[in-house]
Amino acid sequence: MRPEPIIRINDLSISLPPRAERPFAVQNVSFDVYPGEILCIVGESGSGKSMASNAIMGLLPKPHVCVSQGQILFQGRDLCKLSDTGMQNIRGRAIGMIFQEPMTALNPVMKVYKQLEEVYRCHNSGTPRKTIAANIIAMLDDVGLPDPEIIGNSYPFELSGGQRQRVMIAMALALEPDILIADEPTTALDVTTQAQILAMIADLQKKRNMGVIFITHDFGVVAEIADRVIVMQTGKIVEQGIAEDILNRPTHPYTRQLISTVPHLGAQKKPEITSQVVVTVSNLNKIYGGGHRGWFRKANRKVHASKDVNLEIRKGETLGLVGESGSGKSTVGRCIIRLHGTNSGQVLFEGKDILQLSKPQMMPVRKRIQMIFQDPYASLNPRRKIGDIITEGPTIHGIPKAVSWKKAEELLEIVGMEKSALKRYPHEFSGGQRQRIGIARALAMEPALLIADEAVSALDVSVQSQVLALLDDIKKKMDLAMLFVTHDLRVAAQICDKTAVMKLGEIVEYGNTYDLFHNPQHAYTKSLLAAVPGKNWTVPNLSIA
Amino acid sequence: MNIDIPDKDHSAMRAAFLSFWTEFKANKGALYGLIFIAILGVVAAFADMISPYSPIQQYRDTLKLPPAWVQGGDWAFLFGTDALGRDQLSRIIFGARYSFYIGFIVIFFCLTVGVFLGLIAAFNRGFIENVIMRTMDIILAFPSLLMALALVAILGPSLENAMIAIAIVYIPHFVRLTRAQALSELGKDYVSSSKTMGASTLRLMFINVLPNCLAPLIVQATMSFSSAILDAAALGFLGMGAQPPTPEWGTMLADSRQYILSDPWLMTIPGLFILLTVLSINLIGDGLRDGLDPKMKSNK
Repeated sequence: MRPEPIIRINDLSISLPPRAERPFAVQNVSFDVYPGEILCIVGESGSGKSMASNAIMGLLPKPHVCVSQGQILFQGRDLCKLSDTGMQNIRGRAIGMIFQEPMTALNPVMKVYKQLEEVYRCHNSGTPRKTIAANIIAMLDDVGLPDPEIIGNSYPFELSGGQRQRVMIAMALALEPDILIADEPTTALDVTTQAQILAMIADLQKKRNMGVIFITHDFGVVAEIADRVIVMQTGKIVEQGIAEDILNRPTHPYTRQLISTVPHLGAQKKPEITSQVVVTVSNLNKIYGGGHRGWFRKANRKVHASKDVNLEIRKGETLGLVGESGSGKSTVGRCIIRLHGTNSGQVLFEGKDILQLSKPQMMPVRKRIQMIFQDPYASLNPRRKIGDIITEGPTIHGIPKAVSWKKAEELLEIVGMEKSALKRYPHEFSGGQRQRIGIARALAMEPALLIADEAVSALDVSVQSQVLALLDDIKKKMDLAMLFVTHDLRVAAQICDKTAVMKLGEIVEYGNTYDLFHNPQHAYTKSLLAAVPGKNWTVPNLSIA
Repeated sequence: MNIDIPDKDHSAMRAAFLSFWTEFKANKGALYGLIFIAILGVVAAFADMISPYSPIQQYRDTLKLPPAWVQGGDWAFLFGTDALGRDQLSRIIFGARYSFYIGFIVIFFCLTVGVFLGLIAAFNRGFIENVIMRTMDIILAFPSLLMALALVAILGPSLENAMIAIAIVYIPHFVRLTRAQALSELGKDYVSSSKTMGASTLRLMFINVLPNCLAPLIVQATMSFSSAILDAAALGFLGMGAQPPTPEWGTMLADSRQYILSDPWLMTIPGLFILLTVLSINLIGDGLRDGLDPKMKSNK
């Protein structure tokens, strides 16, 4: 016998303004949340998953976007019909919410303690100071912040991302709500922090018998914590059910497609590559800051972003550089391509130490090393046409525009796009398409070494798998050496032949991807692997339909 | 740099302009401002044909004639005549020419010098940047009109020198704006990408970064256009700008200062035109901001 649901959503539709790409953000959606369960809403960006939860909180950007049909029943009342003051009473007290960006969700000029106190003051103005203080301390302790007094007395910017997210959760849970809505709460966090936060949410949820609506795009996270799952696509629920069933025996084609694109964590054994070495990095050192005081500026903190890094990439080989944020993995990539200066070390590329080359000597080398960037929105010049963007490199190197233009047409075909794209501007393309354009731009230079800096991190999982396949395909076809910088171990497991794990500027483990994933040696590698969400879930093989 | 590509089309550009125009049109004030300035521009361009008299011709038998619609006015002189019997309407028409002249020259000078210095500062962080930016801070530390006055005092009073002085006073705004914009663009990866291709600094500056900094610069230029007219009028009023008998609006104000009590319209009419012109240009600036800079858009 199931208990009564805490919240019941009945045939909910949310309409979008007339000129949007579709008439409804959410269309005819119905679901219930029961006490003591974690309900995961999964979907790609634009699927309406956040809209649904914002509607529950009454946080839709009215009047453009509003509930056009349906009910949100909570304790027998329809939240859609509630006045603003009525809604204020529900928010926080009965329904708590946490957001993706802990940086922007906390007031930066208010101490943590004050912000928590505000939550109590808004709702129970009569509570004595002492009780509030005791509650706050207990709350901070509950969310696993070791020294509540010190944390309470700090400003948000003094805390790490994980700590901030814990404070956010403390705020959301302060008034013991019946429901917690978590909108991608761990997406901005490192994998080890994410694991801790997930464990904490699951723990608190059990202790308090709350209902949790957890919104995510990551099936790993779903596998880690979900009791029930709702899969959304373009505003509609395509499948819902028990987590076990959805993850291992999905029935709807969209769900099957999504799950089949999740990279397997178990790396395949790949043959050792013994071709010619393209680039050798030895004892690379890079220190940020630490410059002495100038007339008008303060001396800054020293950060050793790369400490005696040694790498080697062969023709046709992909080397993965994995690590958490701040580990210096991007710095190494940018030092190799000389976007940043280096403090010491050697980068031997095709027999020459390129760190010693002067600017004109570097020009021929520039052609041979190319980079693909993380953010597909910032990496293309918004004021230039795709054709001009792709042919910029060859033009700089003196290739006639007519020739490089022809080449650009071929390249677009290779990356799976129409050649008519050449005459359009970047804003007309989606994230995945832009990333393809970025790849075409890099290939236009006919490089020998490709550095992909988090090239798929900003993409949805299905697009991500397409771009990964494209990169792998191109690497094989053109016999490239590739340095693949990523924080996502699943992605690394899928694409890399060798993997190097970085921590605080140092490579702690370096070896064959298969060995590294199946038999990690270093404690840090082990902890990283242990923190991958949904590690105990083996992605089902859905290729045989 | 612009090599012709087969069947190059401008449809994207046209679409971008159309969306800008819809945004601009929605701002009624900007639209009216644009209409006023357009009319004034036509009048200034064809001043020789439109104006009924020469602006410096003196009609000695009709001194200080009030405007035609006031009692005692004469329809031969629509806006009346000044203390020397010159036709006010003709002087206003020719004065419009000077106002545009001042605005365009000052803005041209400010934009070229300001953008160039701003880009240099953004691309050469450290010593060069410090020298440029601190110099700009020093210029900014002076009250702008006082600074312009001092410069004219050194250069000698004339319209050209007044324009140079005003331009120098306005340059820091453009340098700071360009530098700030360029710095935020420099952090983006499309610039890194060009660097990895081996793009030269000049290419990075003018082909990659500058076009992305233009929107706020255009808005700033429009706003400065009107301030330049205002400052030139102020200098003219103080006798440090255009010299008589130039029909510059500020100078016209100065000439009629002593009659402010007896014949108030002598000052009212040029004053009104300065006000309307400056107001119109500022309204256009607001409209441009709405259309070009989506971040500043007011929530409607």
